[in-house]
Amino acid sequence: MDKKTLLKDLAELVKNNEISQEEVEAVFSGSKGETVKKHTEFSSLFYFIGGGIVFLGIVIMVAGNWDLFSNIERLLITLGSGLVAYALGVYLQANKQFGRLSDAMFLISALVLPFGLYVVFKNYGIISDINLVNLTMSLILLGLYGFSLSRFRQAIFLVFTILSATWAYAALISYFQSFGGVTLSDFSQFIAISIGFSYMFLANAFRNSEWKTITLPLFVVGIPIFLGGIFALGSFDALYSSRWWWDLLFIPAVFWILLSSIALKQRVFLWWGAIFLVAFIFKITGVYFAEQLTWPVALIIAGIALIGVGYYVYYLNNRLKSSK
Amino acid sequence: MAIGRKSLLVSLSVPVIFLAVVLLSIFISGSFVKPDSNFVYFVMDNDNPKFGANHMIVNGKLKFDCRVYDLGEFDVDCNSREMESLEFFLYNTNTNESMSITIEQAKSFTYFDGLTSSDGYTVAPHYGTGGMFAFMDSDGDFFGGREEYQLLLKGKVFSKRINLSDKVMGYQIGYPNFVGWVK
Repeated sequence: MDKKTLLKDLAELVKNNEISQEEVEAVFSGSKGETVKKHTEFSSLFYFIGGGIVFLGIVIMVAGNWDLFSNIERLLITLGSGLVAYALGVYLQANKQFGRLSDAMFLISALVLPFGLYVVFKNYGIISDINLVNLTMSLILLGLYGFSLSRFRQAIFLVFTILSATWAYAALISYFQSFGGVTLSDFSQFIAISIGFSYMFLANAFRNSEWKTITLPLFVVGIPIFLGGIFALGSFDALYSSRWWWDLLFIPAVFWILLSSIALKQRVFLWWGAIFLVAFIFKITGVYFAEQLTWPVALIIAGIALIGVGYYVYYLNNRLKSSK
Repeated sequence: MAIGRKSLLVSLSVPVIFLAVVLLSIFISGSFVKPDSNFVYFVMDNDNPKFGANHMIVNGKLKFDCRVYDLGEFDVDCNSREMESLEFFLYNTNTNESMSITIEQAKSFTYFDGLTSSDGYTVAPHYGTGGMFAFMDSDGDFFGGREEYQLLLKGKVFSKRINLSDKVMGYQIGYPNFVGWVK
């Protein structure tokens, strides 16, 4: 391959976002590539921690003096600082000598902007329905982060886009719910199941893409939300054992998660699956068997089941190792 | 290095399907939730913290137990001017509309005992807790508690939002208090 073809191919890869600037720079820095990457990740960690601390400072300062502020001051402190942080982030992003410093600014803006928007809507009475306020704010943020993602193509914006989309989804359901519909007291569990399920498949979609860095965090968050939702729908009291079929449904769900660890070669499925399976064994022992079989017998059965889970997890872990 | 399209499609389709089910259930509930009786509710447009009025149904009739804290002691006075701050509404279950009525009209109706209608419906408050902003109230103050309310007409399977009077929604003059189902 001659130089011209190579550069043409590289330009094509860059255009399709299949290769990042960092990856190309790592080639130039040769053997130092990995060190540079680790250094950048280490710096980013400090940026995020710093951004979080700045946000905490703003919250403490504002919450302590909130009543003393006029509406304009409230607006300037929340929405104003959020927009300034975002603008600074855009400026730092454009100037490469600042590295990933822009991430800290974007983080501050992402944490402060929702409060700023809330102040706009509530203090100025633009919308009175709180569900509609929630929905509007989340859609505005979704638009902002969706645009930022397409413009800057940074993983941090993908995270904010997913979070604001999740918020918009929950707000939309809450808004619709205020109109009635099916009489359900468990809406939040159903919302959780759908969000958890969605996160897991979203993580899988990004596994081999330029956004693969957020795959693991999405699995780590998505699996417990999904399993936790089904777990919470089941019975917690012998008196409410009419929910037994949710407990029955939990069994294939948890084994689906456990077996996915091998299919996707992700150990996080194994750990979450094992944790929920152990919790489930304790729960069903207490709800269904303790009364009929007496506690000692129920505990013996639970203990044997736990040993079985332990062996099964060991077996899956070995299969996972060999498949890797 | 491409995004997995099938997984992306599945991840987006589940929330969309759930949303569609919720929307469909709201649409369907409009046709199913039709109680036989109308009911009365009231709100108190009064910021006098010294005044309190408890309502009750005695032998099918609306009665009030009023408290006005004045000159250091409570006094029972249901004819005080604060009573004028109570605004009554008759909710028509057929048209899903609230109509303003006087206290005399509200007292003239005969009510069913209890909170459930003869055909099994109840009126339940539905609080909008403000989602992630539940700690702020309608004035934008922190830790102001929950706010925003609607009333839901609840059956066994479906429920429907009640169209509260614009007066209640517009001025947010207080929680709507359910009085009773009219015979």
